[in-house]
Amino acid sequence: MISFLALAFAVVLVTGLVAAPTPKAAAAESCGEQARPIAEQDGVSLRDGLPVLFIHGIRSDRGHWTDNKLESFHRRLREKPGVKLWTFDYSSANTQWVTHDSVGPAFARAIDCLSGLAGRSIVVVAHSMGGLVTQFAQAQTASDGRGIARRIASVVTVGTPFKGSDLLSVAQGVHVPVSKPLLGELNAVLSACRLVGRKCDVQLLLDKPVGRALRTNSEQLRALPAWPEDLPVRPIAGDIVYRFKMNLFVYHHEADIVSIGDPYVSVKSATAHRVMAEENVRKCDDVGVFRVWEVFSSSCGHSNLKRREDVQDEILDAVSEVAGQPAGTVYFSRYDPATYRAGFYAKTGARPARRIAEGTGRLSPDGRYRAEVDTSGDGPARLIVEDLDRGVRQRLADGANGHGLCNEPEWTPDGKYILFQQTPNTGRGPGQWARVEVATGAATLLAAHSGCYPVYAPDGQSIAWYDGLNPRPGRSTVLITDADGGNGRHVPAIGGVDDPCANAVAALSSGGRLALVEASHPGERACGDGPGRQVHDGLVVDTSTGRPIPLPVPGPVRGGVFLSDGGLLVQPAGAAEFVLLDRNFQIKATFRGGILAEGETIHGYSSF
Amino acid sequence: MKRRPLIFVAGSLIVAGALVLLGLYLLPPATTEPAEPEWADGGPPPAEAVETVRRLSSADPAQRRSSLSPGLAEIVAEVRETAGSTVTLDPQGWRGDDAYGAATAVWRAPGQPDRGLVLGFQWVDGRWQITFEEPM
Repeated sequence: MISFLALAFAVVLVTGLVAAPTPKAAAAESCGEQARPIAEQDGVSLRDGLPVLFIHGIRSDRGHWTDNKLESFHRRLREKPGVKLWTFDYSSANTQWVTHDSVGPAFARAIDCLSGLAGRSIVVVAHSMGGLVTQFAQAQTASDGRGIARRIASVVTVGTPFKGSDLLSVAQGVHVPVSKPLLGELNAVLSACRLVGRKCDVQLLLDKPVGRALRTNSEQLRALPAWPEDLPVRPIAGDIVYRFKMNLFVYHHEADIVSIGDPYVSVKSATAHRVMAEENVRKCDDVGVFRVWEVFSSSCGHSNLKRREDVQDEILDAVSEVAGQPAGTVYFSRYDPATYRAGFYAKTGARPARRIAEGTGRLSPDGRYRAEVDTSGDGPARLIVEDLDRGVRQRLADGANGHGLCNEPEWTPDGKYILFQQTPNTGRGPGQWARVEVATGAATLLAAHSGCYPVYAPDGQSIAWYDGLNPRPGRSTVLITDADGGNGRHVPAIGGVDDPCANAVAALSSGGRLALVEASHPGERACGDGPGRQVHDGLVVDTSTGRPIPLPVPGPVRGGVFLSDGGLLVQPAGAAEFVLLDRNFQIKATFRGGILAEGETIHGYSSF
Repeated sequence: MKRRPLIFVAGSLIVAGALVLLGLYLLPPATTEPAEPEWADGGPPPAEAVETVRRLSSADPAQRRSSLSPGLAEIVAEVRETAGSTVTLDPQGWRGDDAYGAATAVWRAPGQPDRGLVLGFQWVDGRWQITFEEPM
């Protein structure tokens, strides 16, 4: 017996030693119980992926989008690079209105979570009331304190009753402004509804909160938040064209061909909100073979639209469009020499650039605030911060210089502090700078006098300054210090060419290792208060040698920002585009549209 | 001696058949979900609906027209008289609640084969009125 046990132990031991180690499966990522990946492969490696989040409609569940008949549709979606398919389920509260915590707010949390895991905005595909849940959710606040709408790249709605459901209204005895023939047809549909049992559940909704809210143009619908103008929404509507046929007793008029929508939702309601130019209406004109009770099994029927190949193609187009776009938002300004002011813009993906502010100064890295040095009137310069989401301006601190030269504010990468010059410039050097806390206005002077036009590295540990007042052979006008202004060192002459004035610095990488600077052009420019932080003939250089680092864009660059992941966003000189480079300086994405070849200044980039 | 292969083949077939039957007994069916009925279960039609159907077959055009719901009356030009025809609602063909209903029925006319019919109803002003009428 003992020898048998010993043998068994030995076998187990040897088996364990010889057996190849099982590769560790990537851990599935989670966004709570209500949001789930459709398949196992959708739940892993979300970083840099493109989540597509499906949401069902009224009296349904995630099964609406995980139907086995949609397998080939899922496969086609997954063929797009990085696409991960997720569903959101609110079936436990699906007779409640979108404001219920398990519905709209929970959907907002799911979007926040998924976009956070992916590090980019997502695509939402919504059936029926799911579109209204999305409309509610997009106006909620994400974990970064900003709108959920920024976490959504595109929305596709399928049969969403943006203006309510005429059918539900008629079923509730509510007057709806429709033609008499349509009213007659809706009543016929409601009669047929009783025939088909489970396929039509109108009567189950009548005394529920959602049934009341979905009445045509209801108060609840009117109270929903507006969609952002620049969020692409593609509505798809089903349209069954039905007419009463000549049967045993009843004759019909040829003219009484009536569009009854899908028929829960009319075409007018399903397309009431759209950003696209054309309407995506799927028509089913089955005159001659159609029976009224068959509207529920029509391919244009409310729950069957998803199975139509043309509807699936439309969803695929929306996903492809987002997958082919650069992710994230570039914040930039455009200077107007006529007014000495700038317009500030946010450009998300391929959407048109959106004007978010005007004036002078710098945007915070997340584009939420603008800091400006106000030198109007007499007295010292004032540091003003404008909350662009709320439209509120706040005077944060007072400085010394009555002019704006040298004193251009700079945000710390976390957006919590602003560098602001506190004491006057002198003939020997620039004034002293302070770090001003945005929340309180408390100012802490930097340890040392440094330079002008400061630029933080994304890690917040180094600052690059323009220092044109103390030119020395063999060094550039770019000074790099620690975050407290101390431990300064000058970048050697750019490309080995001395230029006492021109080496403006536009950006600095983490650790202060690389800088985007203006190339040396000795004798071409006059020295003075300095060129600001604009570069026109910009180069990325190694700050320890001053040697240029090649970039995969033609020629010099006009400006840019280094990113916390080591990447770089630049505008190639003479090009109406911004190019996003990864940490290896390979092109990751290109932003085009609404960008000028000259006059743009990049302020920041965010993932959403 | 020559019978042995036959016995072997027969025995093998019996064993294989038994295994198949055992497998069918033990394994769950491929589709677990029962086929969904096309229509909901029906019940006896209400007397008011029977009366409405009677008016549909009336010789009086006004009577025939009064059997229609207001919506359908807006749409149709006339309700045809089919001489001698009758419509009988199926005894268990009614599906409905207090607002809408539908029923299966049989249409009979002299010299013509019986035809199945579906009628839709709406409860309006204390009466069931017809919202649609279609042959099955």
